[in-house]
Amino acid sequence: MAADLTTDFSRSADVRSAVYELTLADRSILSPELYPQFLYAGSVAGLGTQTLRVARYGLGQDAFTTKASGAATEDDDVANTAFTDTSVTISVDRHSLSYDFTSIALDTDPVLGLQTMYQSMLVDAGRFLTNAACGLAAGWSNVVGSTGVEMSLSTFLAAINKLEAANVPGPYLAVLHPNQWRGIRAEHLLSVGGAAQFVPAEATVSGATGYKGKLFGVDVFVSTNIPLSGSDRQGMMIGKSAVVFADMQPTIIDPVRQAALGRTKLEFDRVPGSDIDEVHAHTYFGIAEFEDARGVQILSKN
Amino acid sequence: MARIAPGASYAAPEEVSAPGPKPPKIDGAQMFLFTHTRTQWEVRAGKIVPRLGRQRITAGVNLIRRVGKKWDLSGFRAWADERGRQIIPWDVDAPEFGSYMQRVGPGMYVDRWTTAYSGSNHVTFDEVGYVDWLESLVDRGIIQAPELDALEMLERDIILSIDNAGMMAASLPQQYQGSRASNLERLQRDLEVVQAELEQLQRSAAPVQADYDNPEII
Repeated sequence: MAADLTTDFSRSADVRSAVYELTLADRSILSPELYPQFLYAGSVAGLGTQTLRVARYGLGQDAFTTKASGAATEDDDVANTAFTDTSVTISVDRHSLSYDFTSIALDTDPVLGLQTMYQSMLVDAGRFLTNAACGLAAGWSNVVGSTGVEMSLSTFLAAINKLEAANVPGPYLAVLHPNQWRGIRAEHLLSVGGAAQFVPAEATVSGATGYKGKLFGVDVFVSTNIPLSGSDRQGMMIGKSAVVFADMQPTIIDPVRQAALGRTKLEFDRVPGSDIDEVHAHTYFGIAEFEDARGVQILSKN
Repeated sequence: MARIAPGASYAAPEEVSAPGPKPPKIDGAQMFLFTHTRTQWEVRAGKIVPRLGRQRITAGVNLIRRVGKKWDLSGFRAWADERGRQIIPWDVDAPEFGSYMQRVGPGMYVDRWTTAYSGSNHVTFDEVGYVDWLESLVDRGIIQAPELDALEMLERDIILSIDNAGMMAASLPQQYQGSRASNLERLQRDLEVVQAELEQLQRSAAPVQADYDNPEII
């Protein structure tokens, strides 16, 4: 059950053209392990199944019953409160990327090399998970903003208000398309709306990960993976445990040809007759909305 | 190259140097399914229409699975049902219209009212056609017409947007207001549309008969 992203770059010209084009690819990486908005449900390694069921109880939300003193109800037995379990099931799948190239393609190129390919594929594994997380943005039932209307600070504030009104615990995290962030930054430069509390990320961090900083206490990421909807983009703001994810740590069978880092496995193979080296990467994860009310879609003009 | 016809697939040129059509370069345009939640409505082109969500079709996301070359959406369907999220199937229209989703390049899908262009990340959108289709979903009974609570929520959201947008516009110097002033006018027009519909609905709405027991008093 793999989502194959096989790329056939066996000839040197194809490899170079692809590598240089990739320098303009979206580099946003949202490491879910670092943010409490992404609830880690665990690894399915050794569990005998690739699906995980995560229980979700309404703990901390039930009301006490008052039993009046001196009245007939003073010694009343308190009724049992049943737990409601609205479990969420997630499935862990394999996502793969593969490059085939000749020795001429590899050895004549000033940039490429096995080490570079491995590093690139690890980055791509992170980007693929970011892409999957961004895909959830268009699914939240709560929406702020309007179609055809430019993104603004006021829409960003409306998203915070929406989450707060639904008692969503913080901290909050927003993922926006760069065209949405443009609208906010323009207003921020003009110091609109009083003191907009913005703590910008360092330029190096911002460029490498898409992290823009904290605005009103909300971590802001930008990514071009944010869904397109006609002439609009559908970003999102989420609270604690809005999204649940699970993964699998692969086992290494042949350490000479394989390496693993967390949920991602890298391996290479050789086709001697064609002088082709094949490099494969597999990453294993599943991701799902944990609770609809914990997220809000941010709709604005692209 | 102009629009890539629905159902047509992009073919890579044989030689790198050969001139040929390039696929569009649209980010965030993966395969998707439209979904709808009962309370989600919006005003487009002066009409109240369902606000559709998009579920991206990616293996491992919201129980979507890939089995061989096919997609297994059974887990996702159950997941969506549980959340009161209605799935609008790809074949919701008569066969001559085809799917509402069209492939415009490798791994790139847009709705049929969006036009993609060769080698470009820019798209154009047929707003009127999309609104007509959304209205047809309600007329055909695929999506139920909005109830009072949904319209009141929409009204409240627009009022909040007007308040916020007005505050922002007021704090901007005139020369920087640009599109914000027209956004504000648009929102005010949208509000009028919703309030007119609300007035009509409120007149015809039947009150809910609830069972009611007075609490006992000593």
